[in-house]
Order: sequence, then structure tokens, then C-alpha cells
Amino acid sequence: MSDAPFALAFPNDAASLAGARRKVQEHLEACGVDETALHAVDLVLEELGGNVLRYGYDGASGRPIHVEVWTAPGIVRVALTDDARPFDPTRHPEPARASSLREARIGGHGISLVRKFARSMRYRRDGEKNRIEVEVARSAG
Amino acid sequence: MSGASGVGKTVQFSTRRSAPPQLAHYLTVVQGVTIERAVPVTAETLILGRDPSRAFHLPDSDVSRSHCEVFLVGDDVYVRDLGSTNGTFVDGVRVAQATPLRVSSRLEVGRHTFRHELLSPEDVARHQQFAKDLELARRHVEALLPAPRASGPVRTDWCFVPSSVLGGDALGYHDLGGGRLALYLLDVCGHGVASAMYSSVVFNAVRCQTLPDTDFGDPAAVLARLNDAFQMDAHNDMYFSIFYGVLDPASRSLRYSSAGHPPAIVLGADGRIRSRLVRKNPPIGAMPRRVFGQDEARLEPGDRLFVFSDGAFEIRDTEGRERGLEDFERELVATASGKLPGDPRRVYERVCAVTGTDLLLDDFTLLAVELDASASA
Amino acid sequence: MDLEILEESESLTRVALKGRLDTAGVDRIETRLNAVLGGRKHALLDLSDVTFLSSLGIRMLISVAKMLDRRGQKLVLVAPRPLIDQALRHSSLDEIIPVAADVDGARMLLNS
Repeated sequence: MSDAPFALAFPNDAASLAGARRKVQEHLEACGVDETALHAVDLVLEELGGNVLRYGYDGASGRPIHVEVWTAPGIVRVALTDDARPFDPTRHPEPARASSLREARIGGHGISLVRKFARSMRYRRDGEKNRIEVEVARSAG
Repeated sequence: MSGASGVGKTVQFSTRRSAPPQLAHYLTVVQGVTIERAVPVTAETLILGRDPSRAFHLPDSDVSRSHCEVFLVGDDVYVRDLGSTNGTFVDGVRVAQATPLRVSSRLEVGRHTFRHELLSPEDVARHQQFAKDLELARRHVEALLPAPRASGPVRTDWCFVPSSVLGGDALGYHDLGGGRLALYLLDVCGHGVASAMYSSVVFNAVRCQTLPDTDFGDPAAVLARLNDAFQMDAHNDMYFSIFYGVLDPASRSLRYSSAGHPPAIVLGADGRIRSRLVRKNPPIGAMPRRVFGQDEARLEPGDRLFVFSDGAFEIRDTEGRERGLEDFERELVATASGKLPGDPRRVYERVCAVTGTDLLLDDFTLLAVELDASASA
Repeated sequence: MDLEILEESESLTRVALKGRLDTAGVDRIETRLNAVLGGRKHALLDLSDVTFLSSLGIRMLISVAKMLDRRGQKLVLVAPRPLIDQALRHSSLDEIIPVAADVDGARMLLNS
């Protein structure tokens, strides 16, 4: 992945995250990325970005979140960088599998869903920032 | 600057400045019952748990009897899990050993969420004032409930326990003329202050009969009129379920209709379930321009009608298992003693015993109406 | 995210969800969905026009299913698109809420 990434930054609110997701989708569509990979990238941003918004700040607003996207044969890589409180999603435990509706717990499925749609997920704490990188498979062509 | 903080904990002499003298550490309730509470955190350990003897008692079946402890060391607040079943979470991350709970961080225990805040005496006074306001509102709501009727051809009793001081349920009955009794129980979606306000508005429309051109002896008409007046789109996405009945003791007929509401139960004099009364309409406000049907039940002397809302049975037991309507019906049959006064309260206490708490997370509302056993057969 | 009532009979309500079931979509639709499915009947939820399903959407589906279950009613999900179906399977939702490929299949599941 030697090319410079498609990069953008947005403030930590839901509308801006939605806008950022749209821009990333438009860019990747223009790059010819297939529907399955487009969907996976969108899910990554919705889940991981959503988590940062929900848990990362105590009401502080206007904090920048950075997205970088690289494309290469067979792969799309997405990196999300924020200055919220330290949070490592790779340490998040898998929710217990419920055998019935009555046992099912509501919530806790986000990160496990990302894991299933992505090839890899790596977290790094960089000084005062969280950085998470996710790789998603894309089909050739 | 510090003192002994309990057996087994090391005393820390903090070299950082302590909180400005007028601010003190508190846990404020962000989500859960007792929403108005602000609890001080001091060097003395505060144990949060379901056990009523705990200093910070949480009537939540997802909370262990002794779930976690919170304490102050110097100027820092720490939280330690006490081997709870469902875990203790700080800012979404599960914790076990003593973990710092920074100012403005969130502590999640069962279905309750708290925030660590530094509060001034004025802030605390505001919290307490809010608690007082809620209590006044609660008394106002309770004053509108009709007195139980201990004698006469139709006897009544009820149990009304909103979760978190104010709730979205309401119940009532009033004479319609000709010996008939209108009886009703409604449940606004959600619970808390907003639901309670909406509930009051709707309840008054029924109790004071202020819906225009409405025959309050006609349950289907009452529901249709309520549905016209209270559509979701025009009322901040709120909707409600209702059971509305008109009982004529002379003919022993009960005309009724319901919308989005659990079935009302009729227990015979022998204590067994004789019938379940329900109409499968969507809740009021969910869909415009509906025709609501109604049914008529013939009651026998000594029959008891129990009307209730979902909060009575949508509960979890001490093993974390979710209970449902069938479980509640069994509890009702087992508890209803045949002597009406006190039955609703007894059922409530039984449900509390099942959940292992003394306060439920949703409003508990139960109305019992009994047709005199000596009524003409 | 939009909601459309497709069918309402004495025993069931059939509702179509259309659009993205992400944070914003769930926010928009959840209360109305609970209201429309509050009639104490079985429910069929047509997902054929749902283009995206996030964990919050999954959470909403579980919540609705539990609400109905407590009241003795069933929920069946109908005709999810391939990627949505994948999300349902990845989160094991299909093990606790029945999924049918079409309405007829869904009705059979309700009657069983």
C-alpha cells in the first residue's frame, strides 16, 4: 500500500460521522471497489466510529477524528485515529452466544460484527491518540 | 490531608492539590431508578448492590447482592468489583481490581449508570430540590386515583407503584349513570417524567370525560376518539396501551375494548381463570383512523376482574430468567385469596419476591374489580 | 429508514423496513416500530429493502423480538438481502429469531 491514502477529518458528532461515511463510500465506488467490500468498510466506520462517539468523550465536542483509506489489489485498509480516552476494541470480548431469545442480551455485538466482516484489526495507542487499522478483503476487478 | 480509609487499604498521602473545599465527590444517577439521587463518595467504602441493607441499594435484578464497592483515596475515586455475576463497567470496559473512576467517567452496574461528579453544596441542593419536586408530582398523581370501594354491588382495590417516582401508567374508574361503572387502565410507552406527563393528560380526558361527542358507555367509541386525539406524529412519538370497560352490575355485563394491552383476567369465585379479555388493536396513536371493536362478557356473581399493565409481568427473576404473561397468571391465581381488599398489594409483593428486589424497574399497576357474590344470578 | 405497514389481519401484522438500519435509522424508526407491533399479534418484518444492518439494528431486532416473546407472540424476519443475511448469521441472530426467504415461508413458520 504505497499510495497516499484518501484522508479526511470530521468532528465528533453523529451527523459528521454520517457525512464522512458517505464521502468514503463515494471515493471507494469511484475506485471500483466491489459492493461487498464497500459494505464492510461502511460497517467498520459505523461501528468503530460510533463507539468512539458514544464512549470516548464526556460531552466534549468539536474533537477531530481522522479517517484514512488505502486501496490495493485484494485489500482495502481503513485507519481511524482519535484523541478520545484509551480504548482498545481488539480486547473487547465476544458476546456470549444465547441459545434462546429469553437468554439473549441486548447489545455488545458491534466489534464482533466488524471482526466477522474484516480480515484483520489492529490497535495502537500513539501518545494521546487511539489508532485502529482494519483490513477488508475486496474482489479483483 | 488523609486518614485511615478502612481495613486493608493503604493510605496515600497525595501531593496533588485536593478538590477545592467547596466541591465534593458524588455519584449521580444517569440511568436507572432513583434518577434524582446524588450519593456522596467518601473515604468510607460505599457498596452498591441489590441487597436492601447495602448503603447504595439498587433494586435491579441484573445487580448482584454485593456488586461492587466505591471509595475515595485522597482525592481519587476507585471502584472494585466484588465478584458480581454480570460485571462492573467503567466507561464501557469491564473492571475487576480497584480501578480509578475519574471525574465525569461513567460506572455501569446492571441496568444502572452513574457518573462521578464534583458537586458544590448548591449542586447538591438542586438535586435535592428536584427530588422534592418529583415527590410532590407523585403525590399529585396519587391524589387523582379513586378510593377503593369496599362495599356495594361492585368492589374495587388497586396497587399503583410507579418505577422511579413518576411513571407512565394510570388507572381509574367512575360512575357513568344508570348504575354503570367505567373502568380503565392505561400505559404510556417508556417511563419517567415525560411519560407521566402524557399519561396525566390522557387520563384526565377519560376521567373527566372531556373528549368531544363521545359516549363513554361505548368502549369502542372511546378508543376511537382517543386515537383521533392522540396520534404519535403529533405527540412527540408517544403512544399508549389501554383497557377500557363498562360494567353494569344489574345485568352483570362487561362491555370492553383494549388497544395494545395485555389481556385482563377474570377469576371465578373458585379462584380459577374463567376468561381472558382482550381485543387485538394496535396501541392508541400508532395508526390513524382505526375502527376499534368491542366485546361483551357476562360475569358471574363473585367474579373478580384483574386489569394490569406489562410492568406487572415483564420482569426477570433472581436467576436472570425472563418471565412472561403465563408466569404472571400463575402468580395471580396462586396469590389472589378470594378476599378482594389487599389482593393487588399481595400480588405486587409476590412479583417483588420473584425478582428478588423491593422495587421494580417498570411501573406496576394492577386494578381489581369484584362483582358481589350475592348479585342476582 | 422508513416503515410501511403491508398487512394487518386478526392474528398478524406485516411491516416492511426500508433503508439503512444504522444508528440514525434505528433512532428514526424504533419507537414507531414498537408502537405498530404493539397490537398483541404475531409479526412479520420484511427486510427486503433494508440495505445496511449495524449492531444497533441487530440490537433493535432483538429488543423487538423479546418484547413480542414476553407477550406470547412470534417475530419472523423475511427476505433479507445477502449481506444483511450474512450479518444476521455472523451475530447468530438467526439462531434465536427465525428468518424466512419469503412471506409464505414466514407464514408456515408462524403456524408451526
